[in-house]
Amino acid sequence: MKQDASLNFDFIPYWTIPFRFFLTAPLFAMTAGVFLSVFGIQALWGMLSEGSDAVLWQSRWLVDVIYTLHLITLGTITMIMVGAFFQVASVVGGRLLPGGKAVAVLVHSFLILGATLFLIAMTSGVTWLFLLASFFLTTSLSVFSVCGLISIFRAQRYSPTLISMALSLVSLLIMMCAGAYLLLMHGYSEHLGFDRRWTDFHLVWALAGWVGLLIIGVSFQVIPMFHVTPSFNLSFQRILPVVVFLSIILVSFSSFFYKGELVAVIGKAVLLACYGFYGISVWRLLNKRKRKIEDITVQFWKLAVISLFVFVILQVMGESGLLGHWAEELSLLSGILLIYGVVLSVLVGMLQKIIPFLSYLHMQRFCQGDFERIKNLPHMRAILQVKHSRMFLRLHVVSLLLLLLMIMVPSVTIVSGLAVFIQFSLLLFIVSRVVAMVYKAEGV
Amino acid sequence: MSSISELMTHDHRRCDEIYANAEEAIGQGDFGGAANLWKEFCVQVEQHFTLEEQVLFPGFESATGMQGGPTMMMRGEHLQMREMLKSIASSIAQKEADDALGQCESLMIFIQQHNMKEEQVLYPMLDDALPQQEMELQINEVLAEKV
Repeated sequence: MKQDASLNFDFIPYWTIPFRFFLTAPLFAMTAGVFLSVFGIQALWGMLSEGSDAVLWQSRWLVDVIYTLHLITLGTITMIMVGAFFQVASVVGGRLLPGGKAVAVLVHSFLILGATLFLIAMTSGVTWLFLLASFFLTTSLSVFSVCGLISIFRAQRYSPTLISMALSLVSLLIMMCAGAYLLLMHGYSEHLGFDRRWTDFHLVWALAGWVGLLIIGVSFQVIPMFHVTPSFNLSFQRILPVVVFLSIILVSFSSFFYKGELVAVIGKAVLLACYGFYGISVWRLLNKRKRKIEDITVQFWKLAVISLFVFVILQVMGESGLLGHWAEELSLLSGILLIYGVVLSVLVGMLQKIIPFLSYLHMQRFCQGDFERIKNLPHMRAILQVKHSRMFLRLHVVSLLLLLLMIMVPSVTIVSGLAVFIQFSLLLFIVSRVVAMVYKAEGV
Repeated sequence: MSSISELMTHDHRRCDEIYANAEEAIGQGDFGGAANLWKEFCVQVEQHFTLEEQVLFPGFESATGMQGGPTMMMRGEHLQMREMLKSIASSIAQKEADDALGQCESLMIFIQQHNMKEEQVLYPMLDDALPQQEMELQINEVLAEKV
């Protein structure tokens, strides 16, 4: 932690840095939607031509499930989170990520290449593509994590948000190493074999660590800021990220070495309890918000918390053996609830605030203090129209419900894919419209 | 004894509450009530800015020698917010609800981001640099007038 006079409050990353990530993210989700629909069509074709039942969504281990999932987790979720991190780090820590635009371009382009090659490698099975995908993904994410950690270490003062963000980046590095190893095991299984234990290890560091800890840390700031609620309890802010991180260590190692034993169950229970308490805190704060006008982001948050509670209940039922015959369906439903219901709801919900605010902030800067020009700028409701946000929320709920239904009724897969495609086409339209607006304002 | 951080942060929250009431009145189409609440909000915000610009920032600048750093940036943001406050008042007077709410949304997030910088970085620096007791008296004096 440095105490110097060089802190510049006005440092915010150039607008194209976060927006390049936000603009690319919907494309991957749209591609995932197309793949889902294609799976649905293939299954339907099989049913019509061979009279067999739709054979889909029977296991989380199928290659189709893995690459469709990673189109969303790498191409959309990680893309949005990395873009937002560039922005948030400067606001919360008062420091930009080192390397400026060059690092952002490298991280962004390598993430696109890595996520695309991941898909091509998985669908084609060409071995060297797995290596190439691993290279681009690990380079992109390591450069990002290291730069992110440097910006946090240089921060003016530490806060629970910064600590949670740092732990999230450490989790990202661990999850990335396990993920790269899994990718190589897929490509070179004859040499490396395939140890499935690494999947759960990768998964817990990815979702509870990288994604969960970043959401927790950032929410400590943005929930009171965007929605004018009381702050999270300070002790809760200090303790939660650390306990979550320690629980992840316990869960990941105990599940690896002692799967099914008491220590693994205890670890999982502590982790679920942490996120359960966090969900309750978020819900309580949102109910205490002072602003009473309609807020789409609040509705996204509430959807995320409801999905989290259903996820926790399913996990408890799964652990207690109540859903023994439905183990595979349970893991797929849990995955959809967590990724689409919790994580994506929070991220796309926050984008409804971040996108118009960032664009407004930058357009204001282009006016260089000329108040007459500032007065003529579009306001936030003109930048991102409420009717678009409302429509996006409805499409998100429909997509989530259809995706959950798809696991139980595979013939719904075509429609689920279509719903995801339409939802993220609208996000692409929203972001593109705003980018065009800012680009035009900069040129004036 | 309360620190500068605690007192000023508390005042941010108080202003937020008046803002939320004004925004609600605009949303309900109660432009008369909204105009009154907005006026009250502007007065409270102006007092807060004045306290910072005339007491806290000059004290910090002379104690640390940092003239062109964070305090200058905060003064610049105060100027922008003052213009936004006026513009919203004019939209309320013209009964343009959507325009007023859109501008309110911009202002609110601008204020919150500004507050975050102050509460997390600048106020703790003020706590370190300025004599606590003397500042507490001065802040309480100004804030007491607001209640």
